[in-house]
Amino acid sequence: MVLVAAILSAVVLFRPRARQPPPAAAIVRVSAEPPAAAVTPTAALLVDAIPWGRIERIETSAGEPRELPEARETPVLLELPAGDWRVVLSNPSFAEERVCAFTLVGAGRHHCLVEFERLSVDRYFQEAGWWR
Amino acid sequence: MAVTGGRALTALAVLALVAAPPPVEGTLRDLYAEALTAMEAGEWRQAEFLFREAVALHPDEARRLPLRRIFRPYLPHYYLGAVLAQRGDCRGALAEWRLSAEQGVAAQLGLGDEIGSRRSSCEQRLERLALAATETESELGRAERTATELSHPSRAQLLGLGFEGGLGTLGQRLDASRDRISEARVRLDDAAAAQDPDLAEAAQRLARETALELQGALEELEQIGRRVAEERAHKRRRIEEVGELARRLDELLRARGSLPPSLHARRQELESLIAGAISVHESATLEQIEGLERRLDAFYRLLEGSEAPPPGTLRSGAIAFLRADYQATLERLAEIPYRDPKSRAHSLLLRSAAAYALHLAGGESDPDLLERARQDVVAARRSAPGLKPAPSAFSPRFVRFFERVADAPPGA
Repeated sequence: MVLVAAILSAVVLFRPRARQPPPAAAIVRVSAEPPAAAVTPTAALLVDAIPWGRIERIETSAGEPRELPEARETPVLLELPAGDWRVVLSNPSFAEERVCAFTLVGAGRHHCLVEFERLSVDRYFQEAGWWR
Repeated sequence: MAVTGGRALTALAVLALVAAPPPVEGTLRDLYAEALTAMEAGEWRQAEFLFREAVALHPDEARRLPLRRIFRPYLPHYYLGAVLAQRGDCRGALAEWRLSAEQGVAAQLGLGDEIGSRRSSCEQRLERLALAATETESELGRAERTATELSHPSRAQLLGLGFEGGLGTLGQRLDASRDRISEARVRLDDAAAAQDPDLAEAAQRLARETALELQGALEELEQIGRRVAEERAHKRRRIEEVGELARRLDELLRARGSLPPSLHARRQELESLIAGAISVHESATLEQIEGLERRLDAFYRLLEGSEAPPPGTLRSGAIAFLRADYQATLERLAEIPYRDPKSRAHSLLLRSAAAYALHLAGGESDPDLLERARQDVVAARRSAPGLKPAPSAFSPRFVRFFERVADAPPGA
């Protein structure tokens, strides 16, 4: 009985779902690590940005907002229930926000990385004061 | 001309006398009497002519003219000398007085003293003339030698440099000096012909001024030549220095391998500058050479001040961090073998930021990572007290963490 219930739960949780296309401005990379446990109600989502970002909104695909964490500057590890999510990030040096859109399909650790601008190593050292 | 004409007339008269033997005594008496009359009247030219005629007829002086009605002494040489002296012909006067003195009649008559002062005056005049002529010849010789020296082909280049150096009128000055040399020669010839020491001395002054002018021009030219030569030598030295600086800069550039980012856009300019400086030629002006040197020096200071680019491992760690690959950053910067504080400090900063990011990415659950981040911040600040994370590359959260740790008192 228990085994049947577990199989049914797994079928429900891991059934394929249609993904929402990411916004044009977004650079999204979602990776999933093997789930730590067979079934969890929420998943861990690591949100990161290059060079860094601040989480402005977390919302469902239907636009329902979720409470923001206290520390919003990347990297941020979020705990979210399975489902379709949009995490909107900003950086004061860039006018356009970046959106991390993904589908949490199960427990585990997921990774979303958006890119505002990738600094060249020379520019990094210049701005870090290497040649001053 | 008048004298020549007079002689012709005299010759005609003599011929007439020969044709019909004249009373010689009467002719001599008349001639001599007329000569004395002309002399007393100050008609020096006529007196000279008549005395010469008398000398021609009877050259020997006598206490008395051997004629019945003449009772004055016959002294044609003596008086001819006086007339010639009066006319400025001291040479002729002295010759006549010498002839007169040889005969001794004037001295017997007590006229020696009277002529003495005149003779002295003439002798002094001739001495002045001779002295001035000698000096003039000497000055003219000096002036001509200097003019020759100035216009010698070996000095053509120097003369050209002299023009560059501001002696544009040297050729005109040389021509004018040559004209004055000629004028002095003419004056000297006139002085000799006129036995005029004043004229000779004027020629001497002109010759001296000309010689001095030419000597001055020569010295001026040589001075300019020396100055131009010094400037050339200076320019050659500056060219060598600029070339050396360019070569050092080239070597520095090659040793560095890459330019600091602030100079990336100027690489072509720098390479062109180096090539130009190495091949700079003497035709370049000193200002151009000095301009090159200033620009090279500015680049050199920029490059030298920039020090070497970050070491390879540090760059590799930074690349990983900029990709947000914090684990790789920690791995690449696990060892920090650098002795120089700057490389150490930047490595520690990146390692600290990577450890802190991993601490956050792990849900802030790993105190070891936070401690590693903290220790690296402390060590980084120790290596470079002024080090700060760049806001463009590090999140404000890490920047605050860094500042909080760095500013904390030791042991806190």
